[in-house]
Amino acid sequence: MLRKPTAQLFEGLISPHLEAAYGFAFQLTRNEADAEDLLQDACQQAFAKLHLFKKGTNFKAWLFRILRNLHIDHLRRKRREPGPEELSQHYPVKVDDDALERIHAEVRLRGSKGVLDNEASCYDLFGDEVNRFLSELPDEFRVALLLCDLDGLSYQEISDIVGCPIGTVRSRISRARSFLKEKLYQYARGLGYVKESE
Amino acid sequence: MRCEDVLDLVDELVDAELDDARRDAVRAHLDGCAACEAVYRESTHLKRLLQRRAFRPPLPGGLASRILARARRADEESLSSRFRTGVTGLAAAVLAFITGWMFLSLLNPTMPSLAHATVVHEAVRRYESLSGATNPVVDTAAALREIREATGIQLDAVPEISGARLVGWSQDRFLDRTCVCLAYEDALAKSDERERRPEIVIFALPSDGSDVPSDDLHACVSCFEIKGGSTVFCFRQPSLSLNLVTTIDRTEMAKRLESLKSYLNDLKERSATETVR
Repeated sequence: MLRKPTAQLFEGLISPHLEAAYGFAFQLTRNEADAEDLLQDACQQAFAKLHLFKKGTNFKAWLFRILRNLHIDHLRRKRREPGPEELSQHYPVKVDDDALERIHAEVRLRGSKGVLDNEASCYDLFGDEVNRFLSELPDEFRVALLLCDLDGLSYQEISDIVGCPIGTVRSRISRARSFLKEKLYQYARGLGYVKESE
Repeated sequence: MRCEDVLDLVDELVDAELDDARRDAVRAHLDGCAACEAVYRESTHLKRLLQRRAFRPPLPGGLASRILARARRADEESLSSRFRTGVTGLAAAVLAFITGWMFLSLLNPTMPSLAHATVVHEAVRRYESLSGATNPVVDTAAALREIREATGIQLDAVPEISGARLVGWSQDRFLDRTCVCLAYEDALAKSDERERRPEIVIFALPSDGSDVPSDDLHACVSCFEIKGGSTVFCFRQPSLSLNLVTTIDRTEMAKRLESLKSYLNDLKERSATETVR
């Protein structure tokens, strides 16, 4: 007899973002089962806290912030549990901050190498390598870049989600791009696609 | 602009993060500088490459419906538990329910918006002075007792609002009757925030024996307790965008006030007509 607008409202708000939210959860957990659990918990929390969502603001960014905070909670809880830090060995070796800084300076100095000049041909040239190189980025750099490029969130929204200053977001995105440009350049050169003119 | 300045801004141009002036300046430079333009093109293509190639697992089958079903279930459980206590006394109860800033604007439309806080702050101060704390934990049993003694309005429980907690109450007048103002704040708000601000305000009215108009009943998302002829309903009137369980957005207040005024006028006219009959 009474309508249920809260669930209806929630459904309308969340449905367009579930796919992306799952993708973000996967980015954070790197594991499909954990991503599913995380997303379910986050959606439950988002529903319970729906009254705190400010109308007119970006629901996707709000949901992602909940996801991110829950992920941190999960990590904290995991850390308290006994057991080896078994996951890190599955991950590729990460580039460190100093190397990122150096690569960024080099890439900036040398300018474009033309590897990505032709949009259509770079889709042919680069496939799974893109994901391999992405996975070499430290998590905070990869997350910032993908929130920007895949999720279309603004630097301010990313800053709110990951809880760091907007300048740091800007710098992470820029350095992540320099790193990828360098890796893609090295990869293309290895395949003989780049002429060594210098 | 020099090349080095432009190179610092290329990513922000790609991500549409520059204001108009800086965007125009960077674009003007790119038009005349092939080297910087190549870097810009490279970043743009990299962004598109990621959009095409970065792996995002598809949403597992059934997950979306499980999530939505869970929300619907939670909604139904919350509605039915709240409605159960209320349904028997509906015929005898009248209820009004309004978010605070808008309501106070209605009482005195010329009042500056900041003054709307008076009653609410009074409600909060009351508990601060009682507990001597700046972040009082309200003794709800004591609050209910005081409300009953002071106003004759008896609630057998404080309306529960998910994620919000009662921080105080005070008396007020509405439609020429004494009512109770209950002030809530976000329970998740940090206790060390300098300016504590109740975010939800509701009003409970004693019954005058009239029925709740059926349109309003359908517009209501939940009702709380009935006892001693008082009911608290949470209205969700789409035309008013009135939503109890929301933070109060002051920027929208003026806009909503107009619809609120006309709604309440209608309500008054309707009860006047019914009284004449």
